[in-house]
Amino acid sequence: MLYKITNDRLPELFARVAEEMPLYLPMHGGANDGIAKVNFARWAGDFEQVDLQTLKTVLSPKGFFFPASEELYKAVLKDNTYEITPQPLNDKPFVLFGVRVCDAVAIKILDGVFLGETMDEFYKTRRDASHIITLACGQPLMTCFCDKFGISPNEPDGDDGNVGNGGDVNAWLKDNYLYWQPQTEKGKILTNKIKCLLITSEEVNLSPSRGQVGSTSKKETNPFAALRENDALLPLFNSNKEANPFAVLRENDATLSLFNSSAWDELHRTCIACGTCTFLCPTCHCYDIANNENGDGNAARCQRHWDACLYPGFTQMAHGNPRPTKKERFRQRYMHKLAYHPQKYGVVACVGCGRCVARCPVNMNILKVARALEAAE
Amino acid sequence: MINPSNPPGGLTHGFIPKSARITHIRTETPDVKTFRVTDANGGKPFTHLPGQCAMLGVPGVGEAMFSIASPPTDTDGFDFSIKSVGKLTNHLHGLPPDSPLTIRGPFGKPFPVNDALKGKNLIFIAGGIGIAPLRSVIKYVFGNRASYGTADIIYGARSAADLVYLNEIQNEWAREKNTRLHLTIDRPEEGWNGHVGFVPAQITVVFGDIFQAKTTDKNNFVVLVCGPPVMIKYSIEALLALGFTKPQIYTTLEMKMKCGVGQCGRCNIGHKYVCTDGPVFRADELDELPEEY
Repeated sequence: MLYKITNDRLPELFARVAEEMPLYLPMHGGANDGIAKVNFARWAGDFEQVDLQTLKTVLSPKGFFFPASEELYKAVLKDNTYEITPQPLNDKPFVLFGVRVCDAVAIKILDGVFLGETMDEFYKTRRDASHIITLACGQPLMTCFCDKFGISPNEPDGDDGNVGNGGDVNAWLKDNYLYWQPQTEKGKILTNKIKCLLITSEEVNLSPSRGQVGSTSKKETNPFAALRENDALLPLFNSNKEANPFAVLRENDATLSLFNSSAWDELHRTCIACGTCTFLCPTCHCYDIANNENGDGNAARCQRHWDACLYPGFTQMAHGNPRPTKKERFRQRYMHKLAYHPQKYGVVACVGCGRCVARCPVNMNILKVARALEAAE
Repeated sequence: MINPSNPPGGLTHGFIPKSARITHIRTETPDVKTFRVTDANGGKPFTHLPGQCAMLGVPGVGEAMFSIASPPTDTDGFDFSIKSVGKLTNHLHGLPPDSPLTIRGPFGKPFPVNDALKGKNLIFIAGGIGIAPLRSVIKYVFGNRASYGTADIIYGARSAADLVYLNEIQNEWAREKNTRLHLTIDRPEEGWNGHVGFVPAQITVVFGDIFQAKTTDKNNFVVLVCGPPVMIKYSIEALLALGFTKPQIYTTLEMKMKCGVGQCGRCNIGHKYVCTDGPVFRADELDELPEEY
């Protein structure tokens, strides 16, 4: 079922959703210094602060599931024994509105890591409590390249028909309406709670399934076909799949030749190992576990923090470091995303959000790396 | 593969440790001590197979992965033979018996003691502290002697004083049936009448004649190698030169680890995570991985 609501009633919609559970959506924050600082923040009734136009929040929504810092357990010394108290799981439901398709796909990539072989209950609990409402991008930016991973910024089920975005509800902004389409059971339950505000759209021909959009007769009546045409504005958009610099990297047997590629000798030189890319990346998930004393020597808190493989201490052991220089650490980051992760999980650990392209202080990014590797092949 | 600890509260992830205790400490060498560790009630914290590891922690100081040096047949705890090299290991070396710790595990894949090793003649090759993970297998084999063939143990260290378990090796291992010991030290020492020279060279010295003889069926052997990466590398070369094949050779690797459950991204060699896919690898499996260990 497809619903819609006029844009001027969005404050009512958000207020109604927030009555059910905390609502987080892209909002302006901080001083206006010319750089749009938009991040997910909790709805507190001020619609002026909400920004549904900016495509890239500075931080991806990954922190809602895999926080930058979180406590895992406390250890208190009592009667010469450590008493271990795990951090209680936070299963309070919440809504994330306005997640772009690339970021939603990135959450699915994180699911592979945290909900796979070893279930991470801290992650799973937050994931189960979440209601993700995706928002189609409309017109992409010069730094976007999600199409290279089979993602369409305006097509919830993906370009090749198998990269579903994982949203509980998919939404589009078009012609003064917000269109709203529940996808999952969770999405339907949420929709039922706010149904009084929504009107059933007569444009029922829309379906996220690729097959139906592809059908010519229905395409004409699909109100979102025009949005999809914007995909051609993607800077790297090319209907020719051979032109995809990431394609070669998906081949498992390419790993050793990529690892030994001479391209790394030059590529790493620009990088200053600041780690910005790893923190902004919606799929980077490597972390540290720190054991911090409370002060009195009898209690300690064990915490998990985001970490970066670009830092020398990341793999430093007392007797040595298997990744001794910046070259090995730089190579590790990109090999992990482009070769190791696909080998282990069947999917490249990049969604083309372009945050690294936009924010790297020395203008290095995954596209440059992929192209250099392809050229060196 | 992974059997995460199950603390009160029912969490099933592998991050939450159990409280543990050091019950006994044995000084092995000037910088290696063996710690016997039990759970808080004096029992075994969990079950394991030879080659598997555990995370030992001192809250507020740190946590690190150590191989369990005792066999699964020991019922009263685990042995960890730990060299004093860094922050946590230095701290552990300063602790007296009865000190509290935390433990979680077991982590990683074990040596294939119940399949590929069964019925085979075994060759153990260890350098320095690399004897620790092999001790678990060696003692397991001693405890299940009928299931395995001969055992040859080549073990080397910088000096006689640096040979871990020397007392145990000379007084207990030497008495085991079908077992030959070949101890070596890097440089000659007064009073030392064992081999002298690096471990890889000793492989040829010890086995050269046996394996060059056409009558010896090499297929009936499995080799387990553990030590510094450079020793592992040259030991494998020496074994291949004697006519062994890579699928007959197992080794165990170490890397920096934090999570133990294949997530945190430190211990990977290519797409393999040492904490979950290892630490035990077959030599031919290593060929498929980038050389970054």
